[in-house]
Amino acid sequence: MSEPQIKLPRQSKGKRPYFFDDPAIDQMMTFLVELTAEVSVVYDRLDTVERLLETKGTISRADIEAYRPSDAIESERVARRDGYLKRVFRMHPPQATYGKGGTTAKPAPAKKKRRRRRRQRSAASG
Amino acid sequence: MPFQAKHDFLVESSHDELSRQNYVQRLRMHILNQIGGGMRAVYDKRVKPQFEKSQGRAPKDEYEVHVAMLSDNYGQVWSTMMRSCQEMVWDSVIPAVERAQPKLNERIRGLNARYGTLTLDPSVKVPRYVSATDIHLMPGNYHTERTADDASQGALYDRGRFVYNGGAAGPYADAIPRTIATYIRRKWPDFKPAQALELGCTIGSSTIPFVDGFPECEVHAADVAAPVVRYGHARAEALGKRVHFHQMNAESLKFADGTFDLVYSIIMFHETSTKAYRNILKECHRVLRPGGLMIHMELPPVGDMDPFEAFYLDWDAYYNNEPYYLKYTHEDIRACVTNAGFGNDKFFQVLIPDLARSPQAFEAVVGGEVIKKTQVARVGESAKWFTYGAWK
Ligand SMILES: C[S@@+](CC[C@H](N)C(=O)[O-])C[C@H]1O[C@@H](n2cnc3c(N)ncnc32)[C@H](O)[C@@H]1O
Repeated sequence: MSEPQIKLPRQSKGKRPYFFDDPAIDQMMTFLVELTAEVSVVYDRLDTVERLLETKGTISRADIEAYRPSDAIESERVARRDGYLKRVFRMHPPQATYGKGGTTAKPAPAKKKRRRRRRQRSAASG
Repeated sequence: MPFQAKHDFLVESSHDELSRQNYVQRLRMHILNQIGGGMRAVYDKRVKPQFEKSQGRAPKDEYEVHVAMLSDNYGQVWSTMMRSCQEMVWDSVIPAVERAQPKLNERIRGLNARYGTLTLDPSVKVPRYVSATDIHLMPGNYHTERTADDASQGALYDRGRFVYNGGAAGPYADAIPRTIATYIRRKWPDFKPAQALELGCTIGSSTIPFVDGFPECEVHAADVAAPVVRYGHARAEALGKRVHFHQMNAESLKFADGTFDLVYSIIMFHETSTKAYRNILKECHRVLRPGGLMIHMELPPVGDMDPFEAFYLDWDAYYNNEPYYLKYTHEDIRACVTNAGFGNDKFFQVLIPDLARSPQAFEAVVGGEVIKKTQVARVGESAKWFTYGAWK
């Protein structure tokens, strides 16, 4: 007799803490971190396709599903993931802050700033 | 190394699930080492000076550091990522366990044990400190059973814990028990246990290194949660290791006085209550033979840590569902051990470098060198294991 399939809970007991004054930022961070995982999964799948195509003319979905990287290939993927993590989660370096804005320099007068920005924008479009 | 050793009961993940699990491993290491590695500098360069400026003094304890660090943007980013990542650890494994569950339970039920034994005791009551919380955010914790003879929490722990460790504890996730077993053998070569007992063995990954390390010894392993010992039994059989598993509460063991030469645990106490800690130590003393050894690997006491380090290590107590951790790390362990009946002169504590990662430092400590600094951190950040115990 075969056992029935059960659903396992996805959430742990207890309140979910948040760390920012606005919990929406924690929520956004979760979205963001989850999204980086999905991008990495897509990258691996692409890598699988590329590697399979290197040895075979045509491949099926079943070939992709069945593919398991060797230790050597997995090590390459680890190195790639680490590089990816470094690029995506690039933390701003710690520094003494001037104020809430987090800059060490006195804020420039608003007028100047605006002009600079306009110049930048025209440089970008030209 | 990112690869987990395979065995017959490890759940099968699909191509994409495996990819996600492998990513989460690296993500966690990145958050711990790269982002977490910056926390100290943020504290020294920004948070502490700001605190001093507004309060006219430095933060006096880990609680003040905690509030100050979590008011800082860097601390907030690190914390929220730690939390999300911990949720992702289990989330990346649950679908595979869910699919595997019916078949897995059937196979374990039909298992023909060739090496060890499994003794379940349905009369064992799961204590509140286990049943009330999903420790490390693992949904269902160690004990939840959803069908008769359910072992799936063991399967979830096996794969999920590996993802959590990022492989830092080796292909069998047993770097710590392997280090401790080898330490005992090398440090006390004349000590030849005939019977050993592990408390809080979970899936027995911390038991097998003692089977390997003491081939003449009969090794028993107890855990209060049935799913994990069921799974552990199947896993040990698949790996060809002779372990005798018991569903038992370490606070009230069913073994007669003086049964064992060696009683040990690996990272168990911080998940038990203050009262349970004392009860379990007493039980260790009772089931040991005179001349026997009790040894435990655990989180280091925060007593002699600086406030920042204590905050950093205790973060999990607040945000990773470890409600007993904080009380445990503030215990006076020597007092607790001696109150349990062990002689004060028989107490020892030692910081043991990981056997695989720092073999030379390990040798030095076996030879008697003492590492003073108790800076020990989460798995993946450090490789020195705080260990203590006593001879009876
Ligand atoms: C962190 S895990 C131990 C990990 C394991 N030793 C290893 O190294 O892989 C803690 C375990 O202790 C068990 N436990 C907690 N309280 C217990 C008690 N009173 N008696 C027996 N086991 C207990 C839990 O069920 C859980 O499996």
